[in-house]
Amino acid sequence: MKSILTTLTLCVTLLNVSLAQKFTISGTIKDAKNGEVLIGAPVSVKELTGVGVAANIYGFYSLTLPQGNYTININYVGYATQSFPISLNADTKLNVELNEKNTDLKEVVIQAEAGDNNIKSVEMSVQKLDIKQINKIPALLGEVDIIRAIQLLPGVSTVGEGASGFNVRGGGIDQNLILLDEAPVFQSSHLFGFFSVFNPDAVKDVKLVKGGIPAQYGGRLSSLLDVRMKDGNNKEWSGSGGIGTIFSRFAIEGPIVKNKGSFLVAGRRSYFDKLFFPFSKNDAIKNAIAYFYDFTVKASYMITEKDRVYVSGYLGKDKFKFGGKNGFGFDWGNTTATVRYNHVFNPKLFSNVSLIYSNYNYSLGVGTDTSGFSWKSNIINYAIKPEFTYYLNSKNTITFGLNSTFYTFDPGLFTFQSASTEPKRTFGDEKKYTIENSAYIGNEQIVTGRLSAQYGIRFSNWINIGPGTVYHYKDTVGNFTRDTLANGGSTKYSKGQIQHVYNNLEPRLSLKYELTETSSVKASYNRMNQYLHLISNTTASTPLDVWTPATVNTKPQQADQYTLGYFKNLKKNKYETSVEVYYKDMRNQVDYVDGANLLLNKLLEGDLVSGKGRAYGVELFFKKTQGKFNGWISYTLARTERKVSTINNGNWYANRYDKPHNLSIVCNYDFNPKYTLSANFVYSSGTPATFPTTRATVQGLVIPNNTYNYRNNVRIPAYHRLDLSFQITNDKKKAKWYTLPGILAKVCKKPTYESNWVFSVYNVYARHNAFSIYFQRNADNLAQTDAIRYSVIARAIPAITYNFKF
Amino acid sequence: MKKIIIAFVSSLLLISCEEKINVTLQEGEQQLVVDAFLNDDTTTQTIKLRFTQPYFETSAAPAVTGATVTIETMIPAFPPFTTKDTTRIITFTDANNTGDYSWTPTSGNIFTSKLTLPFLLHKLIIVHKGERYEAYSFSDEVLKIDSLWQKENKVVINPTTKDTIEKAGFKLDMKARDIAGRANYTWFKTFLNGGRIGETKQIALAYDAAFGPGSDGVFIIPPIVRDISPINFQKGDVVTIEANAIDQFGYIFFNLAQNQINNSGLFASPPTNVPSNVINVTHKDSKEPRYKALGCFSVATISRKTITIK
Repeated sequence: MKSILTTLTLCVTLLNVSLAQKFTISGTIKDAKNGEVLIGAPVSVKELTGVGVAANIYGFYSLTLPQGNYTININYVGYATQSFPISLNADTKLNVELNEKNTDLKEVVIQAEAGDNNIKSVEMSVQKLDIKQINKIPALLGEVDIIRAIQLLPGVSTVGEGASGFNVRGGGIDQNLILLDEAPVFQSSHLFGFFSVFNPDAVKDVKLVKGGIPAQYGGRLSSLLDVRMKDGNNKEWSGSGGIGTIFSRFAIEGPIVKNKGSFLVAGRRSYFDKLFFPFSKNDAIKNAIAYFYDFTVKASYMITEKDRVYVSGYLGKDKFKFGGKNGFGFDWGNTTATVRYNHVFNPKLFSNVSLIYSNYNYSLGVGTDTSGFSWKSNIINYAIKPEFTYYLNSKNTITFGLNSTFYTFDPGLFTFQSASTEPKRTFGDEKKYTIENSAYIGNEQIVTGRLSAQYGIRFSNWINIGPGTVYHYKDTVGNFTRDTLANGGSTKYSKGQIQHVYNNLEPRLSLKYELTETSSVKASYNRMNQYLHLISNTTASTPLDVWTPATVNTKPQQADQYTLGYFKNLKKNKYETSVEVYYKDMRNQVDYVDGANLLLNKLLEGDLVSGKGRAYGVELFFKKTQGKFNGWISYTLARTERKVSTINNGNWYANRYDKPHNLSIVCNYDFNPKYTLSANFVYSSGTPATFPTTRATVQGLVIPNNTYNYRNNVRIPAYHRLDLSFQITNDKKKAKWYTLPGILAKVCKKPTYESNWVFSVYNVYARHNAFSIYFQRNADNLAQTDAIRYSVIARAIPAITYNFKF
Repeated sequence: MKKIIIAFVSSLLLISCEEKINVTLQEGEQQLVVDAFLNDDTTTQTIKLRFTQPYFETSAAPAVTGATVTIETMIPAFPPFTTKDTTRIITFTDANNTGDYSWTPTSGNIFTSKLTLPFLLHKLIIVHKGERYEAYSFSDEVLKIDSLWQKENKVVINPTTKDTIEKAGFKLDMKARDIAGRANYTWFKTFLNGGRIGETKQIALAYDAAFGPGSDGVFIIPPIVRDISPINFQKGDVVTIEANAIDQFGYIFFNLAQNQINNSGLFASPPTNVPSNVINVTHKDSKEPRYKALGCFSVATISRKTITIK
């Protein structure tokens, strides 16, 4: 008891709880034009340096101060700063609507400086991308894309065009927690990674966290990509869209109840199969099916000042079929749905409860229903996530919450019929069921005026439950399939019976020390656990890879990451610079024995071997945030390696996505509001590959062989590319169709219509960047064997896109 | 199948490119390569012993001469329990010093007119320059091809050059039922007018009727049947399909070899060495590459069906 009291006293002292009369000022920060809440808008107090808070993802903020007179400043990048003089004698509500900076409202105090959030915030290894910024980057086929944009940031890389997903600080693509309005997205790629599943018209905010991940997030080793959809305009109707070479987009949003409720519907559909395929001389392509689409819907409603509800949904699908009716086809798609309920208990306590559904399904098949086969697999999860933010005082913001997710893994259902007269058979591995629970508590504390800390702990718990069979394998590990035990090789579990439990504690810590007004050093440590493995037999991940849960035989992945950074802004935040170094230590990384059978193998775990991973690097970032000429330079020097006893003779070897040098230069020149010229250049080391030394001829087959059995012993040539784009933005003008009578005019009663043309060229100097180099026999001269460079994109790709907004 | 996906994905945007380049490869050590796919045919059976060669070498693989090559087969007693099991030893000889070690069955009893029967265990022993290599193979029962028939197939044109790759003709369709009740591995070879064709292309390979468990006892599925016609056949062609009941290792070997040979494009897998069932017993635990053998020993029973294209 005494010790508890001591602890409490210590906490009270530590958390600077004082007994002077204090009051709380709280509210929501929104965009004045469309009512969207502004995530992360910083609220500061002019009279008290170092005191402040940032609005949370629902735009809510709360600040507790001693009685007195203050000036509250809200200074958010891209928006005009607003100041509110306040006499704080009671708890006060202050809802704020900010205007974009280019407006000319007289009453707003416009400060010359932009945000210095990168210096002041305790967050490190965080990259935020504004949709407006993303819009300027020259894009493949003129289509703005979030994932392709984040690949231009330090610490982020990709194996190449056509590889799905992205790699963060030497982590695998499965190690990124991708959240779309809180719902996990298991596959972020459309069309094998050429595009991402996120429709930029529906996205409000994108944040990538590479290190110092706060306690409320967990479940993946390497990063968090938090994508927030727009809530929809709750003031007036508006729409946007675009017409491009590959696909077209359209989004419409508007109020359900003015100032209270809003909705957004956005969709995309590709049509390159309809545009190009019919002209192909190749019959197989002529009749091919290849398209993707996605729909995003969102609605929000403010029930009372204290209660707000959000409903969001996403449905996306990629579908391919080649070779006519009896051909080969495959498809994949994500479906997610989230219901969120915000409640403000009191000015200091904010809560949100999310109910989440996510389904990722993929299938492939040959032939028709009566003759052929199909294989279907999916991962479905349901989650509930209550979260609380307690604004204890002006120096401490405590977050705590729970998360419980129920997963169903269907590793594959195989249906086939060898002829119409034969019976149809279905065959598949058992479904696997698991529950992931977690609880966390974290605090963001201003320790002194200069030193801030964010610390917390996350407890995670993973339960494999029945029904299902657990296999018991022999201990000996080698480059061969492990057999199950001769006696008692498996145990059957009935529904709800617990098969195995993992418990882990994940400490998190970030520190910031401001050296001067314009510079700071930051350090962080985080431990992450990941209870999912992505099983892939391809060098670059494809959407058809299988997700499998951690079980008694396959331990969860675990990583410790240490990061240190120096941040410096120059010329009144005109230039932002940073240097970060990191080291990441990873355990229980899966690899495979030679000849592993990854599909429809109930004994898959016997084909898996476990290894260690390490990744380390230094990231340099320089950004010019203002002026006609703006952009950034990012350079990463990094390694990512793996060690598996059965591969590469047990020595460390480079991961397939190891790219020691990674340089991106992104620049824009705004001639005037109408014309913008943008360019980006990327250079990165070639990825590692395994080349043969010798060849063996057996039964007429020329088989490549590597005498020393080295993995990834060479590198393919370096990758580099230049892209250009030119944008012409037309002034807002009166929409012609506005004069149209009837429902159209009523629905679209906006007086203005904005449009822009984007002319872009991707891969300007048509470099044949190698995706891979492979070895095969020459078709014309069978005695000869050749090295073939495979380039996914081997020419300059021009494109024109027309975007509109009303 | 992988090839189809690759071709498809590459053609999606019509912007990809595959081109021959020059690369310098690391040097490797010479290793023994055993090509011992034998069957129960009454014709001469040949085991080819070769060395590996640098990957870009265009000459024929160097022959391994001066080896002793024998196959020991355990012949079960017949009638059972009255006499003892016997071991039959067959010696394969390299008469022309070409590295082709052969043996021709002689007429006589069933065990001398054929190398194998279903359900026999064979042991291959190779002794070369003091190194002894051993491999085992179990011969299984082969499925029966019920019927073959022809289907018209269109001309194949190169989409970019517009050249005719193959003129119109016929592909084969096949009804062949997998043997029910256990795992079977079947390799289909195609012969055109008596000569083997398509050996460098997609290998028609079935694990039961498809690619694994769950397809036991039904007709071989269409994607595999498609692979038995490497070309468009023309009127008058005499085409023979030979089903080989290879053993499990033979299947693994072909499957992995095929993966390595066609390992390209977006769906490429990390290159690995194709394992061998030929073990150096003299230097069993040595990690030195020069003691390791490559290749495969597999003894199959076969069945055939022939069709004349009309």
